[in-house]
Amino acid sequence: MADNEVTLTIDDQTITVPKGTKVVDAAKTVGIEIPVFCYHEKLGSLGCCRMCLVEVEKMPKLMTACTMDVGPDMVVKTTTERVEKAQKGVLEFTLLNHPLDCPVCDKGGECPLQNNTFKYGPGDTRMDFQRANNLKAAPLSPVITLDRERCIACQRCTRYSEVIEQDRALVMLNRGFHNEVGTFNNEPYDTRFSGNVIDICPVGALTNTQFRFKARTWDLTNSDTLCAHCGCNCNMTLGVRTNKFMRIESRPNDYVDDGWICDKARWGYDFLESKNRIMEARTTLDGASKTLPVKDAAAQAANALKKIADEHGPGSIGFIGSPYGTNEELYLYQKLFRQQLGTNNIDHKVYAETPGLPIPHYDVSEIETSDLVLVIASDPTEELPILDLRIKKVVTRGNAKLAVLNDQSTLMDRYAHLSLRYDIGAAAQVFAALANTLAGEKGEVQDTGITGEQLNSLMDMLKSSKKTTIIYNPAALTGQSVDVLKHLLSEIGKISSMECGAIPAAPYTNAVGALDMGVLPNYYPGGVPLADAEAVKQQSGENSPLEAGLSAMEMIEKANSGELKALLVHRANPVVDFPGSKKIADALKKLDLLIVHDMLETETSQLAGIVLPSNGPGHDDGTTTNIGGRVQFRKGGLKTTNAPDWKIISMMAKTLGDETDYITSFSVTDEIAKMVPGYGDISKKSIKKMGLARTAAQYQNGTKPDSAKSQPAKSDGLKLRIASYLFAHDKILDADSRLAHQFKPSTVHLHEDDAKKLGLKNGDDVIVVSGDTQVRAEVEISGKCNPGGVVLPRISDEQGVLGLAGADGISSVEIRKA
Amino acid sequence: MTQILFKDINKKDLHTLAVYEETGGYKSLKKAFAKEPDEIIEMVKASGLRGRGGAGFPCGLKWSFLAKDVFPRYLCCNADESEPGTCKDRELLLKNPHLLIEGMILCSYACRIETGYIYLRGEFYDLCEIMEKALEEAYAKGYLGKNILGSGFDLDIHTHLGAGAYICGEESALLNSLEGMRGEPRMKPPFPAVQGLYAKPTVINNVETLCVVPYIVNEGAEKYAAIGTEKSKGTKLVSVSGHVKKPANYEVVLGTPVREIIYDMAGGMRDDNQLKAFIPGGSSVPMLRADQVDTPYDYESLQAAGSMLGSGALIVLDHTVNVVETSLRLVSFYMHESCGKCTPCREGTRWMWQILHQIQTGKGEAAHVEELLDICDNMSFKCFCPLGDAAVAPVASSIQNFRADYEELLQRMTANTV
Amino acid sequence: MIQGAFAGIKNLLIGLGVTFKNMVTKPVTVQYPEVKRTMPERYRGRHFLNRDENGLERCIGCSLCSINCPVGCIHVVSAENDPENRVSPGERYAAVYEINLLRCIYCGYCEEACPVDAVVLREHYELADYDRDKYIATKEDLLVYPKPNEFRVNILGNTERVNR
Repeated sequence: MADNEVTLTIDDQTITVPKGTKVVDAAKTVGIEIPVFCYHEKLGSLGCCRMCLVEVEKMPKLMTACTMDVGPDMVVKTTTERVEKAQKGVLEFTLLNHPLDCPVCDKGGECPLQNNTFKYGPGDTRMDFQRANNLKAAPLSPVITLDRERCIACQRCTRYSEVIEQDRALVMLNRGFHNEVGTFNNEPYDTRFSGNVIDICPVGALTNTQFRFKARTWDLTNSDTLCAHCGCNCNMTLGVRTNKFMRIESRPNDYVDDGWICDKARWGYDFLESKNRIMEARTTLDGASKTLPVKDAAAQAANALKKIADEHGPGSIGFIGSPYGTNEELYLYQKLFRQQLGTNNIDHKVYAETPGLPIPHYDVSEIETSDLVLVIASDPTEELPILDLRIKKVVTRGNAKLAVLNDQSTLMDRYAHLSLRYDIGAAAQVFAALANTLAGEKGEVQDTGITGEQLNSLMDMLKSSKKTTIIYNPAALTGQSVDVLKHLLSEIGKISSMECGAIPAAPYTNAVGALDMGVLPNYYPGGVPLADAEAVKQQSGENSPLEAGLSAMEMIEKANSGELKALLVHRANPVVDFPGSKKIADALKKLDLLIVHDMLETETSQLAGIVLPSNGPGHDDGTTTNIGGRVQFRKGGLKTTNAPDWKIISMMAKTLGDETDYITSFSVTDEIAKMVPGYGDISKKSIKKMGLARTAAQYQNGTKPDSAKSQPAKSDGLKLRIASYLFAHDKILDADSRLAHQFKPSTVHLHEDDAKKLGLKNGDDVIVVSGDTQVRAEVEISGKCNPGGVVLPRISDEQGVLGLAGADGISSVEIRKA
Repeated sequence: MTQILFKDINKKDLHTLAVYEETGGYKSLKKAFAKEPDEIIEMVKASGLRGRGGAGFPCGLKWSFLAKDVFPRYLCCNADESEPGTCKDRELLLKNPHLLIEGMILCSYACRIETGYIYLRGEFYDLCEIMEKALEEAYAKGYLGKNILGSGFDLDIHTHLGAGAYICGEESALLNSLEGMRGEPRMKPPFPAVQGLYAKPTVINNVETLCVVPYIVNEGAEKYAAIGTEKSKGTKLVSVSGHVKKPANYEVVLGTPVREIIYDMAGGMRDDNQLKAFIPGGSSVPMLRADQVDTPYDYESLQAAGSMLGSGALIVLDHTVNVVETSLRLVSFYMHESCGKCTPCREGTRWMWQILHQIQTGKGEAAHVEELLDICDNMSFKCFCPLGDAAVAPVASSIQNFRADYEELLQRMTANTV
Repeated sequence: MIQGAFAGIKNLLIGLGVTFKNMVTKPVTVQYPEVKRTMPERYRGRHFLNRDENGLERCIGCSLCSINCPVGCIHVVSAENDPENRVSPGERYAAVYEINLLRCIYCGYCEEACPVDAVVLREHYELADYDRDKYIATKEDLLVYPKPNEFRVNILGNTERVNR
């Protein structure tokens, strides 16, 4: 027995568990159930419900098993008469003023109070007084309704708000018998993670307004699926009844989400039944718009692409995929375009990320064992909310330090031990300087907004750490700064005293998978570069095209100049999401053929010649790779008559002579396992419960960046940083969304100095101008960025912020009074 | 009669520093600073001083339990005296605030504490002003602040007014309240001596306990230990209230029979009525019968008699009282003051109140008495903090000792309604 | 042989005795469909949904009948009551309540499971019809009380809805 282990006896069973384990958890390991209400393994002990009383030898009182650490040679008894009497007594107290609501209660059927009463409770009550009455439906927020009568004051929700969310938004009010859950001044409880209190509530007090009285829990068909919003890929359960979407619940997976999901995951799925869905295929190729069977549309699309490729050469067609697609969809599309159509004009993004990392690719759970978390240019709170919770967890429990290196202030700064803010556009220079300092050379940090000392203190933190997790957001890094960052990562990796790994935290569902699947103009699946012709041929066959393809933005440019004739866009909306929005619409209009394969009607699908329906998350099966490189299975739950995406792609490939038959999405997964390096172990079985981390893609050693090149370009205007906002009003969260109360008005964040120069004050209406694009916004003078920059959160599609951005994402803007 | 705390209590202007020094105040500091801190802890241990707040935990032992080598440490003086019947600390704070300050300085020196807090009950705002003034005087004279009397020892003392919750007299709830959180008791372990205020080692003592320390330092542990009984040393302030002729605070040598306190000190029963029952240690302890009036007033004897010394509030009831009403009154207090954290206390106190109220208003049934006993059993020692046990004490003991009262009331009321 | 004849007559008389006895007793059969049998009060015939004294639907849409149904013939979709315009006295009501009478085995478990005495099996036993589709009893078929009975017996002796 190791030093950190303890042996004890529970109900005549001798067990050995790690020191510090609570008795209730120790009992669970041998299948002895001690009933609890207030205890939750992620929240820790409180001991207020008194349900877990057990008898411990040599202790006069009954002890609460949830607050008591195991001790050596402890003898615990959970079934003695005394314990049973206590359990009955406590349950009688708990039920004293709990309404007999079970037939109408939404928790009925999955209610710990119901279960415990059934197992341990008294059969009857002696209470013959009028039960206390209270408010039956108090809206805590537009999406959470609180039934005050049902609350048993276990304080799980308030502790969640305190311990996990770290903001104490939800608190206990009043005293004694009158105590109740509420917020200060009755403000709505509308944080980013508020929905989790519904899952942890052991009674039906906190209810999901969406699901309220809609169905009984046992009537639901639950499918274990993944969230399809950000790159965290949190595990969740999709409840469906009679093919109607009912609710979403979290499904704990410690490798991914630690048991929580954000509000966008819980309530951001109204698009599953949106009016805006593309339900059938349509074509305008023969003149007027007409609908046609999906099969015919797929064939027509494939033939039309082939025809143009034959006439103008394979370079005249292109594919823009989506970091929101599943691995299967992405793999099949790149295979279709490379093998059947012979082009490398394949891309899925507008930022400069490359597959692979110079240091290990860390799983999200590695953060827990790190003692330093370095967040670079990422805003987890808005981009990857569950990652934010994980970082808060390790930092607030004192297990790790947090360093933030960013060009805008984020909510993470509140927890950071060191927070450096460089000027917008100076990322490359700062990374180069830090890399040089680490390599022992002189790091130049002039005109970057941070000082040499600050850089040194960051370096000291890195050097004194034993294990570091670096989280960076490639999508927020403009120009070539991603390359410089990778050079920096390799320099950090050289610190011998420290283990380190990185998490490329792009805020898209399957951003890592898209890189791995080779939806890139210059890499084949698994990060095999075009330059390595041998490897490519070995992997993908002799006929694989080897000439470099066009990136997404290059394709748009070529479309504008007429060199690109046909484009297939899958689940992407370049007209709004790509920098320079308006120009992109013009370019797309010049194409001979635009095929859009999407789930919802978008500005791009309006321009398309052929539109194919995509079922998307909630309907289709598939696998995705999260930011930590974990491959998980995303199951569909709702049925639809339309063919799943992978089948439509397979139909197109078959039209062009491909002979592979895929029976289910897993047939494609099996092919991925065979063909894509790093995915060899992925199979239906291996990713079943917890998912499986794939081996990181191969990394091409980058060259040391030219410091002159990374010098930020001088310009007159203010440098623009487009920030993210979790609840942006876009196609997914449309006007009918339940989260509409979270939508924000367009706001531009200015530094005090700049505001003074421009004569602006808080609340002024302004127009942010770049070229011929104008964006209206309200001024907020905050320290969100250094002088010389503006931060403009993207809050809706209509706002059109990406119109302001230049082709490489960098742009200067002018601010005028409206 | 030995008087330690109340020696000069009625001296005019004792609350001013000048008068206090006249009576020999702050003399102990020099003596203490000449010794090692640990020696003082040993002295307090040797004196046999036990906590006067209610639990009666040996004071010196408590000080020696502080987590080793963890600094800063804090001292909290528990002046949240809210127990029904108890008003001893109030008199000390009102008339002799400097004695407490002196005691706190000694305790802080012994435990190497540099910050002290006096947590005053919310209703004590007038005492808070007196205390503030006394602290000001002490700072001006150099008894507080940096380098006290050239000893190199620093101490700051702050006052803090509670918001009016009985539960904040519980030490860990007091810490929560002091930190600005809800006044709810904390989980133990960790005990405050290990992780208390701001998660640092903390000593929490009652006003009376701290006030005794100067005497021990001045006169030596042996002299203090000579007072009282073998296990209960020293004197105790007893707040005598109820149906006596002279209700007041009396300083009593531990071991004095209760009869002596009631009949000699407090002048006997009002109107020379017959003694029916008495609660020896504040509302939180079980009540005793008249035939137990010869019990010596000390920790052990009262415990043997089935009650506790508690905070030292002797509530005397004469034969005109029906104990059901007493229980109802006390339970309604506990129902009002329960913090609501744990289920048995939150729900149980209200249920007991409902039943007692029903019995009192004549709607009771015979089965209710047994039901009350069972509720008491389900609550006692199953609550998060001692408040639940305290709420049970008057009800369980009144049924145990005066069941006839309940039956009489039930019968009378049933007769009336029929 | 004579003995055999006597025995024959004796047996004949015994047989006729039974016949004559039954000629004068009350018959156990009724002249259905002209005459209808009164069913015992607890007879488990066709289902109905009760209303409360205020005319509100008793059913609170808890689906306990449906989960208890051994053949799964009850389909309930519940919804939240609008306090201004109540359908049932509680917080929720059944927006859809359907019983597939063909699949039903008339075991009465739904009635037993109902916490508010909403669904009951009553004495109506004439359930034959020509059209299978009519056997999906919806809320408006089931919620006939306390309104006047909207059913009548047609010439074939079957129960049919008066105004559909």
